[in-house]
Amino acid sequence: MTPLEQQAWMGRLRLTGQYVALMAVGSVLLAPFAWLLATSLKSESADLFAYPPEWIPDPVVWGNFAKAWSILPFPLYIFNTFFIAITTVFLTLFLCSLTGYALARMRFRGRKVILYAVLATTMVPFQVLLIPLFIVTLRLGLVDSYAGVILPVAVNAFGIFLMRQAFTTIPIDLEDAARIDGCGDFTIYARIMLPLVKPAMATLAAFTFVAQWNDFLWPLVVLKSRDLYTLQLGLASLQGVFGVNWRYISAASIIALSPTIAFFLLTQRFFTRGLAAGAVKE
Amino acid sequence: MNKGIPFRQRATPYAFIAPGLLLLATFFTYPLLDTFWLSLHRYNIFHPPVWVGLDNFRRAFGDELFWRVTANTLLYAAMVVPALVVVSFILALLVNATIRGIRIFRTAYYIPVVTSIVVAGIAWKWLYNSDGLINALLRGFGIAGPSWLADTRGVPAALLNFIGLEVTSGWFSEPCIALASVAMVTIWKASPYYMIIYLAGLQGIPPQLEEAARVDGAGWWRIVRHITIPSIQPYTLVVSIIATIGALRTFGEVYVMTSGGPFHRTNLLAYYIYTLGFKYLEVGYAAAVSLLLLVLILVFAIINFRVAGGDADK
Repeated sequence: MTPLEQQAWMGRLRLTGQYVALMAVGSVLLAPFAWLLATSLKSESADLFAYPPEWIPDPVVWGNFAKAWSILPFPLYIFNTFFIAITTVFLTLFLCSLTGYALARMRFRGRKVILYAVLATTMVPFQVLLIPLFIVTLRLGLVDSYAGVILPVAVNAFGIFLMRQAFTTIPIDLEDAARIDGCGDFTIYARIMLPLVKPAMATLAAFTFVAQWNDFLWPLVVLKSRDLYTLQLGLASLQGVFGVNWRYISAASIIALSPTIAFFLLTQRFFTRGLAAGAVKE
Repeated sequence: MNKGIPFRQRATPYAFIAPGLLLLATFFTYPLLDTFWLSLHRYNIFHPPVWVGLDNFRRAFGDELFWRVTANTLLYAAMVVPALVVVSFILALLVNATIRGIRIFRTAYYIPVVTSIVVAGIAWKWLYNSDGLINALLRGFGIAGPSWLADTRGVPAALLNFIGLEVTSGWFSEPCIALASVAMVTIWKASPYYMIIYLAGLQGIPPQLEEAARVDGAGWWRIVRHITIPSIQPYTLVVSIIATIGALRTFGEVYVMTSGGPFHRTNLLAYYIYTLGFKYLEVGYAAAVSLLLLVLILVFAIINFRVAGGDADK
């Protein structure tokens, strides 16, 4: 072998090694889902504890999904979850961009203090405030309502900060030009600035949607009637209903998981981008 | 200083921030202040609050369960945070390659992060079943796995037993297998999140640095040790702070998989607060424990800044 051939051969070997490592780690990370899926497709007569483990069911049956669907009111839960998530997304986008815009582009007394106060809220996790937050919600008459789930989480420091950073990068000339044309402050914000921060808005929307779709603790505390339950609450309540029938529980989990995965696969570039932006600036 | 500027113009910024700040004041500032007030009262929602001074704090310090749960929470963070720093860094090194299809791997790796804790908890509870997948795989090596989420034996003691050493010392009894099993789920679910943060850091390292080292004959490990790790120090600070706060506030894993059992060995502060408030309606006591958790979080955030931040100054 010539040295050049040897080098090419080494390169190919290294590349193969990289792919093997990536696939091995990926298999470990995704194995819990694969096993859930395998379990959900097993027939009543199949031994769930068979040794060696059966990764591909024989026969593949879909009946567990029908059973899960008939026991939990999935359409209602999906509607509730979707409604809560979408409403939160729009409220968050509007309120965080409005606040972030003022903090980025307007000069006023107390601006620095407010910015630091907003950032400081990230040091106090939701769990610490759980009980007084429930009491406020109770006093406002919002317990057991959509509004009770949405309003307390509609504004957050992450959103305000993300929008502020995005607005900060826009050149001031654009604003001056609009002002000379006679635009008012709100028009400048809504018509000129918002369209320029679409990527940040998309990031915030994607994060908020997934966070609300998956949220568990706050809906658990604030929603009492089953008619208002979200998917996660319904799914968590299943464990008692089905006893130990892991086929149904697995099927129900797959049903609850699929919309999240589909949404994530469609919007994944916003996730990585937003995270990176948040981390670097901190 | 604002003389001469019309009121309307001066008021505009405040009109912009008002709706957002009003919600923050209602659902953040007020509850935070209320926590202090509630912690000084006995209150069960149905009867008016009764002033008890610092009794709730005294009660916490004398409450064996509070100490058990606090110890669990600290042990939990001690397992989760270092593991997350190491695992997510390794994942980031792995997906930082510039090879075909790498984006697919990054996306696939991130899926545990966007999975709800309920689905994740159910999936892992099933894996951890005493006849579940993990024990089936172990059986292939002739190992009889424990009942992961219910075993109160210490991890060190169990490992020593496994290699044939009998130990009785209490030193080997913490953390227990059940708590470590819960921690494993947090590590699995959160590591790809921090992987993305590390990835941003890795991509910010000037390639010339690594090339210069390679020309000088440095191997892969020497480059990682002497160039990559020091370069991403600020990212390690971010990761360890977020991971610490995340670990100290863990709730869903416990709720879905163990309900704090067996014998409170997997009960963590956030779950304890939840049960105090909503199961036993001990609102005042729950508020006091919440404040103690907050103190814990702030102390650890400061330690993180000191340790990681101090290094970065060099």
